[in-house]
Amino acid sequence: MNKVLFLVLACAALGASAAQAQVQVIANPSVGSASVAADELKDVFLGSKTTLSDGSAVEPVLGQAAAAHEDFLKDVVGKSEQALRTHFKSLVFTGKGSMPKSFASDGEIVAYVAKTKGAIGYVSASADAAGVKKIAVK
Amino acid sequence: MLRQVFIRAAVVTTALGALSAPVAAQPAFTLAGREVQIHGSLQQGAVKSDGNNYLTMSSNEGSASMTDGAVNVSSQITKKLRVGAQFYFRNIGQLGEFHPQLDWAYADFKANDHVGVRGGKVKTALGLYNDTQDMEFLYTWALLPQAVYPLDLRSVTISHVGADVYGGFDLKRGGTINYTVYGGKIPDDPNGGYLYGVQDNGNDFLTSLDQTVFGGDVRWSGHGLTAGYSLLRSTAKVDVRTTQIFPFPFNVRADVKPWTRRALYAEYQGAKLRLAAEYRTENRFQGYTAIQPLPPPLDAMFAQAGAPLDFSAAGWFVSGSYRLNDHLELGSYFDRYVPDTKQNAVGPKNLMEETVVTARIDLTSWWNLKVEGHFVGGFGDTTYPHGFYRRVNQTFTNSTDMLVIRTGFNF
Repeated sequence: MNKVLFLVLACAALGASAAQAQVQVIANPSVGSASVAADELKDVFLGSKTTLSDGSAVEPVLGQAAAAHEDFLKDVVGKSEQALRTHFKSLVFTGKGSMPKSFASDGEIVAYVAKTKGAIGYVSASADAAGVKKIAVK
Repeated sequence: MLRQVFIRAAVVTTALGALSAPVAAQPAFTLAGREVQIHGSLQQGAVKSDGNNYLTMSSNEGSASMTDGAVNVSSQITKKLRVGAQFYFRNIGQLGEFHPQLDWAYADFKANDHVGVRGGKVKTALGLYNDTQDMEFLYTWALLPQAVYPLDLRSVTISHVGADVYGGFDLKRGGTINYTVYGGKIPDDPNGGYLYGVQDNGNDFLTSLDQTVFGGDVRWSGHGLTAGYSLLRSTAKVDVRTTQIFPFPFNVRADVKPWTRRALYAEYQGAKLRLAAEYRTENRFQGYTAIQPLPPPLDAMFAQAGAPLDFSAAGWFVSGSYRLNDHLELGSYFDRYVPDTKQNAVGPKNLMEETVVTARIDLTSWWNLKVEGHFVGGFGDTTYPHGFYRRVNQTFTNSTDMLVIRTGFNF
């Protein structure tokens, strides 16, 4: 029984880390941190945090409908795309925030993050991330 | 008649859908090098009730007089400064009558995640949903629990002219604490609010019931849970023509001080499950003075009949909803309102309670349809606005069942 439970847990852990490995978090080189805590990253992508613990001002950038997008929302933000958009609408309609920029492809995200001070986004692990800084998620 | 109402509602909603589709892409433009976002929403509802007419509508016959919408523009000027404004209109029975209102308009300077300041006309933080109560797309419900969020009072609770200081603190694995402290004025609404309840009782406001307010809200969030406490304290002076003290119209000044609302609330949001509860109290101490001098014995009669009023009301709700898939969410809530907590909470006059069941259908990410059944017991104190008005009810029945259909678009 214990062996079965161990195998189930091990498979679940491998599955989760595999999903996280599908995504790389990137930021504009102006962002000081080389790593960010998962909870902090979640707050940034929910619009409740606009600076990282090192003092860098950040602006979240969303993907659209790619596998990396779904993995990131599920593993880091903990919301479906619809729930996340609804969350941002609640900020927009009370004047407390803007809809984040969103792009259809990894290439567009990388290009926007590379040229925009403080921008932080996510792309698939295989995407070419030239000109941006890779951020480790703790 | 009912058939005509729902045909009209269907035509209106289809037209609104067609109009909304092209702008669902979230329009924005650039001004002086800054992105300016434009967002909006539009809702249309229809109500059929038995028992009493509801919310100043002729709902017994079936009414589609339930339209509201908003448009806002906003821009992030710098990393720390944003500005924006929203216009809102509604026509719900006789409430609003399509008069556009400046819903909010302010500059928001966020120094860091711990402290920021908003100034202008600012949405008021009170309980779980006060500042977002008209964003029907956020909720399962066609109507939020009316014991706590009465549609009649939306315009006199939604925002204040003044300033907020706000911020938050990260407790790491212990979640986050967010706070808001505010002060300013809440302007009266000549097309709803308290006015209709006062008029229906044979009185009338001679001046506006503007409130000077201060208050605050503190809430903890973590692990899908939110729990918090809000306090709103106000004072107001209003001149009233009343027929309730003497058998002739007489002008008095009502001095409301203090007027206190408190809210205690909690909500859980999982991936599919959402549970919420809120308890709200209202206390109002109201003194009267005669505007014109009174000769004896009228002065003695006034002193007796116009004795200060110490008023207490309470309302609460519990709700639960579950999302079955991307297109369907089901939910139910129970809410209860007691207009005078110093008396026994018995219906129909000193109690209004309802059980509500809802199906929310998300047709697209920006268009939803809600079908909701309300089973209401009692009608509360009709001098205090919580849905039932004498102007549309010659007599009252002890219970009211309603079907509410509402559709909404947003971009």
